[in-house]
Amino acid sequence: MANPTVIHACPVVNQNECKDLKDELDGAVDSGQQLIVVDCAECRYLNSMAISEIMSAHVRLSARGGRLHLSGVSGFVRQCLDSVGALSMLHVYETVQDASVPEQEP
Amino acid sequence: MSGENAQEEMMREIMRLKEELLRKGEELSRTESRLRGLLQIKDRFLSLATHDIRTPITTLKLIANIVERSADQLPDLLQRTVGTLPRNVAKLEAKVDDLVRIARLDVDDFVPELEAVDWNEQIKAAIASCFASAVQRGIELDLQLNETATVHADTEHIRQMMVDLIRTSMDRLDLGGHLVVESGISSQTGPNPGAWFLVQDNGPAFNDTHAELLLQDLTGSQQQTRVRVPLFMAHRVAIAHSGVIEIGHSSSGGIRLYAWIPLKQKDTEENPPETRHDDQHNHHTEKPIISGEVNHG
Repeated sequence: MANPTVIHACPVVNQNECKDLKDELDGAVDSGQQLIVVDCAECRYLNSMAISEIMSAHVRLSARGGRLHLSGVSGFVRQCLDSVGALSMLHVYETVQDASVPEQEP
Repeated sequence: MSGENAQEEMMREIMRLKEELLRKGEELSRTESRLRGLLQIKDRFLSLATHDIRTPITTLKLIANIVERSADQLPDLLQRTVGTLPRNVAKLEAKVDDLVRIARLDVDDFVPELEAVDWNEQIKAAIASCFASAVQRGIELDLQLNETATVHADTEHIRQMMVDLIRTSMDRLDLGGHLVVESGISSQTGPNPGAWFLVQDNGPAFNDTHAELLLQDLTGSQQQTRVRVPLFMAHRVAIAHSGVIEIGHSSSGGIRLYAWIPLKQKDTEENPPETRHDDQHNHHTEKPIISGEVNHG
């Protein structure tokens, strides 16, 4: 498997930043990438649409055997992801390095 | 009538009045005791009813989610119907919550239990409790936290006030709606510094004549009940904290809900508030400009 695409979520992802995140996710998924890592280490807020976009990318990747991993999720972002049940569906790792190993299970 | 007889008559009258007073006092005491008993029964009933009503709703939510996840296996017509299930169950749940809260309402006795709370932490908690609903309903929920401060407030009620304002806005929005929550510290209202909380959406414009009604006592008009219950409750909490709720038009044509609470209820000048920048959000502090038609509660 090729190196994963790592997308760094910015500190606050609101409407404008969400569009950028969606573009990056779509680009990575459409390019045929099998492993995408969304790094949330610097992120303090992911808005509701951003989480929907991440979930949507996860579903599209999973449908063709790929994976979407999250890394560095903490604090309020973790709380929001948990409130929508995303943590039980996505693979979450401490670091980008950990998340970049495709065989590793959470 | 001699002076002696008159005095005796007066004494008898005083004694009669004393006895009457005692009887009335005992009657009042019995009535009070009966009312207290009724209140206890009401509280017990509400507690049981709340549980009994919420339990089937929880089951209903679970079933709605399962059905929704399997919707692609259903015929087109059923798929569309099933798609509306989670939202309607969420509405039902919110309505039950409103009913329970109103039934428990005791306006005269509401005294906030003040403690030191971090303003932005309460906002995060309020956002977290509305987040799943926003995702499910396809509403974009943005958050812009400015500097935070310690506010002396009733934690549970202040958080619920924020939830109520967010819910008021969310209930007006459809799929694709956009809602922005902001916060900050200012001395805008009155001489005391306070913490503000602002919700703005891009939903449909509201009728100005309804704005005043939104904050009035629920015993008034029956109009706009869908948004009035949470807003009325939020207003009640703000007033109890010597704060305000204002309603206006957002820049995108929707509703603008603004809450302001003083940092301290007393001794503000003797104990200047501690303000600090939220290390997670380094936006500039902006005092909200009250624009459009604003109705003070």
